[in-house]
Amino acid sequence: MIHVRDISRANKVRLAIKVGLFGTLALQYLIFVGIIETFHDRYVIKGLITIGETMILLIFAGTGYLAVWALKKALNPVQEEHEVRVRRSWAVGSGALSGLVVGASAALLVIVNSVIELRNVFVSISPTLIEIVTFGRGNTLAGLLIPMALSTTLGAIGGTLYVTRADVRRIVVYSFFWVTSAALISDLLRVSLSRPGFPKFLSRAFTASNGLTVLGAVTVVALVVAWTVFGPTVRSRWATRKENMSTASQRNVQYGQWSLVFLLLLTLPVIVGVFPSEVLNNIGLYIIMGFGLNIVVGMAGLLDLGYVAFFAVGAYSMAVLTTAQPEIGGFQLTFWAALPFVIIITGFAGLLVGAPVLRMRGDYLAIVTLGFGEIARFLALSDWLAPFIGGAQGIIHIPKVSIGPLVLRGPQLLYYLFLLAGGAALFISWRIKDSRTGRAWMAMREDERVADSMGVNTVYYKLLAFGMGAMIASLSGALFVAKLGSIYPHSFSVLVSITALSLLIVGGIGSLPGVIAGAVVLVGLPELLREFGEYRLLMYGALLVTMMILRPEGIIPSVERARELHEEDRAQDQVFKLDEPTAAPANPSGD
Amino acid sequence: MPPIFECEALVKNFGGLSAVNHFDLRIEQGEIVSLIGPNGAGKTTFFNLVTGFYPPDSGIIRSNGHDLVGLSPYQITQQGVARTFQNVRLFPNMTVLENVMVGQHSRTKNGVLGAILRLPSFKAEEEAIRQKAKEQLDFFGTRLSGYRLDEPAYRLSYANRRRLEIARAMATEANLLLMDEPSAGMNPKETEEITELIGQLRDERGFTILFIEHDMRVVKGVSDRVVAMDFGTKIAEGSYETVAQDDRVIEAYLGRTSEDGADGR
Repeated sequence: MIHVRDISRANKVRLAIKVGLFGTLALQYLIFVGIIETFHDRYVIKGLITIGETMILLIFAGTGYLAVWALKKALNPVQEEHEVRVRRSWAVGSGALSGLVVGASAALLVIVNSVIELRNVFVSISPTLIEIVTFGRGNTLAGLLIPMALSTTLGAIGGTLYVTRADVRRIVVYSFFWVTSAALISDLLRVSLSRPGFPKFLSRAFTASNGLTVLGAVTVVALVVAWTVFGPTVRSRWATRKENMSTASQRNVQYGQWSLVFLLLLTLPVIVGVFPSEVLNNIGLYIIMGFGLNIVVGMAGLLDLGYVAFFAVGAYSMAVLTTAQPEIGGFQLTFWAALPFVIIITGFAGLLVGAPVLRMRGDYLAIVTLGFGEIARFLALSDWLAPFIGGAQGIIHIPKVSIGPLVLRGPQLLYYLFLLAGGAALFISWRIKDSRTGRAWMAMREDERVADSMGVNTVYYKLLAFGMGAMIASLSGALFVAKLGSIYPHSFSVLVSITALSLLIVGGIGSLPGVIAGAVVLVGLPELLREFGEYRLLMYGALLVTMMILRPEGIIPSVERARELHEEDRAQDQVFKLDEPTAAPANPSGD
Repeated sequence: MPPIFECEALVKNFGGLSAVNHFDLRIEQGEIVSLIGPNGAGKTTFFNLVTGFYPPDSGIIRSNGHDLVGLSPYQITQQGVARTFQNVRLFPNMTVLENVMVGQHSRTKNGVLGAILRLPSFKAEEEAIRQKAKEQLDFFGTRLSGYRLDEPAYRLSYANRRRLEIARAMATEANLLLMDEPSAGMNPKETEEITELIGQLRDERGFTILFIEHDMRVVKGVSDRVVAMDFGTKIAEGSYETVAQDDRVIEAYLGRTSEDGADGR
C-alpha cells in the first residue's frame, strides 16, 4: 500500500535548505582544510576533471540525494512498514534547492575572498582554490554563476537518483565509485600494466601519467554497466547450475574456487610489481596484528589499547637475537632460530601485562593498557635499556631472512613470509573460534561473572587471551624487523595500537574476513593514495564516524555482531510485547 | 555419608547491614527445598555466598563434604553446584546451543592446541559436548530445539530464556541446582509448567534442588521442605503447611512493609 502523508511546502523548503546547509558545511570544511586543493594535482580523467573538482561535484550531488532522503524520512517519521514514495517533482525540487544552497556558499566564498584577503588567516584559500571552485572562471560573474548552476543541476540529479529505478541508480553510483577508485590507483595500474609481458599500448590506452584516459574511464563504466545488467542473471544461472550438481562436483567447484584464490595470493607480488608488494607487506603486517588483537578484543572482549607493546616486544626481541651489531645482543641467531624464542618471550610479555589488569574491565582496562603501550615505547627509548636494545639509536645490521640458500631480498620475496605468517594467524584464529576455548572467551565477553559461575576459569582465559594475542603480535613484530633490517623506538607509537583497533572496528569486530578488509582499507588505501598522507588521521576519524553511523557492525561483520547491532532492540521490543511479566503473588498462606 | 549441601553459622555483612546472619541449612541428596522470605531477607545473598560470588565473613559451606568457602565460582561449579539468576543472565549473542555448550566447560578439557590441530580427541569431545547440550535442551521438548538451536539467545521469549538458563545450569552436570526465582515474570500457565519441571529435574535427572520462590503455588506444589528466611536468619523450616502457618513467617510477610531493604541480588 502506498501511503503518502504530505507536509507543507514551507516545511519542504525548510528541510531542503537545512540539508543544503549541511552540504555547505561539508564543502567548506574540505575547502578550508585544504583537501580540495591537494587533490587538484591529480586527475580522474586526464585533462578533463581533477579529483578535487570531483569532490566538489560529489558534494553537490550528494546533498541533493540526502535532501530527498531527509524528505522521505519527514514524510514517514515513524518508519512504518509500508513504502512511502517521494514524488519525482518534489525530489527534483528539493535536490535542486539544497544543491543551490551549497553552490551559493561556494559563490559567497569567492565574493568574500575578493573583499577580504582570506588567505591571511586561512592559508588554504589560495588563488588556485578560487580557480577550482569557480571551475576556471575566477572572480567574475560567470565564476559566481557556474558553481551555482552546477550545484543546482547536480543537486536535482542527485535527488532524482534517489527516486529513480534501482538499477539505474546502481549503475550511476557504481560507475562513479569505480571510475574514481580506478583513477586513485591509476599510477599503480600504470606501473602494473607497463611491466614486461604486457603489450605497451595497454597502459597508454587506459591510463595517463596522472589519472585515467577517457578510454579508461569509459571502459570502467562499460564494465560496471555490464556487471549490473548481466551480473544478476549470470549469478542466478550459476547458482541454479551449482544446485543441480552432485555434492561431489559441488565440492570440486569449491576446491576450484579456493585454489584459484590461493593461486592468486601466491602470484600476487609477481602480478603487481615491487612497490605494490611493499604495500601488500604493510597490509600483511597489520592483518597479522589484527588477528592477534581480534582474539583479545573481538573474542575475549578485553579492550586493549596498548597492543603496540606486544608488537614492540616481538620486534625488539627479534632484533636483539639476530642483529650483527657488535654492541648489542651477540646472539646472532638466524631468523628461524630466533622465531620460537621471540614468540615465547612475547607470549610471556602478554602474561605480564595481563596479570595486573585481571580485575579490570572496559574503560579501566583500556586506560591501563594504553599506559602499558606508552611504557613499552619509553622503555625502548630509555638510556637505561640502551646498552641492551640501543635506545634512541635503535638496532641496525639485522640480517635478511633466508630460506636455505635463498635470501629473501626485496618486498616481492618477503611477501611470502607475510603470507605464511598471516595464513598461520588466520588458521589459528579460525580454529580457536569454534572450540571450547573460543566459547569460553565469548562467554566471558558476554558476561564475565556468569561465565565464571558456569565453570569458566576467567583468570586463566584472560591470561590465555593476552598471551595468544601477544604471540600473534610477535609474528608481526618479527616480520617488521626482518623487513626493515633496522629498528627504532619511534616505530612503536600509540598510533599502531589505534590503527590495529580501528581496522578491527572498520572491518567488523570479531570477524576474521573483517580483519583483512579493515587492513586493506585503513592501511592499504592510504599507502596507495599518497596525497592522503597528511590527512590520514582525519580520514580515519571521518571513516570511523561514518562507519559507526551507517554500518556499525563493520564491512564484513561477524554473525553475532551484526545480530547484536541490528536486531537486539527489535527483539527486545517483541519480547516485551509477548511476555508482559505477570506479578507473582507473594502470599504465604494463599493458594 | 555427608549431605549434598550443608552450611553452618553463615554470616555476611555489607557495612552495617547484616545480609546473612548465622544461617544454617542442610540438604540431603534428592531433596527439593524452597527458600522463601520477603524482599531483602538475604535469600539471593545466600545464593551468592554459596556460589562464590561473595566470600562469607564467617561460617562453613560444604558440598558432599568438600569445603566451598574461598573457592572461585568456577571451582564451585566443578564441585557440582550450579545456579540460575534472578534476572536471567544468558550469553545473549551466543546461540542457544552455544549457551548450553558453555555449561559443559568444567566437564571437558580440550585446550588451544587441540583446537588448532583438531586432534581426534578434540573432535570426539566437541561432538560429545554438542550431544550433551542437545540432550539438555530436549528436556524442554520442542521449545528449545530444532531451528532455535542456532538462534541467538536474546531472540528467545522471556519464558524460554528462563528455560535456557536452566538448561545451561543442567549442562554443568551439577548435583545441586540453585534456582533464583525460576517462575519470576511468568504467566500462570508457565508457572505451572515450571513447578512440574522442578519435579522432573529431580525425578528424571536426579538433581537436588534448592530454589528461591515468591510464588506460593510453586512452593506448595513441589517442595519437600520449605525454609523461611528474614533478616538473614532462618525463621521457620519444615513442610509447606507448617511454615505457612508459622507466626513469624506470617509476621514477616504481613506484619510490615516489604520495602525496607533492597534484595541483595
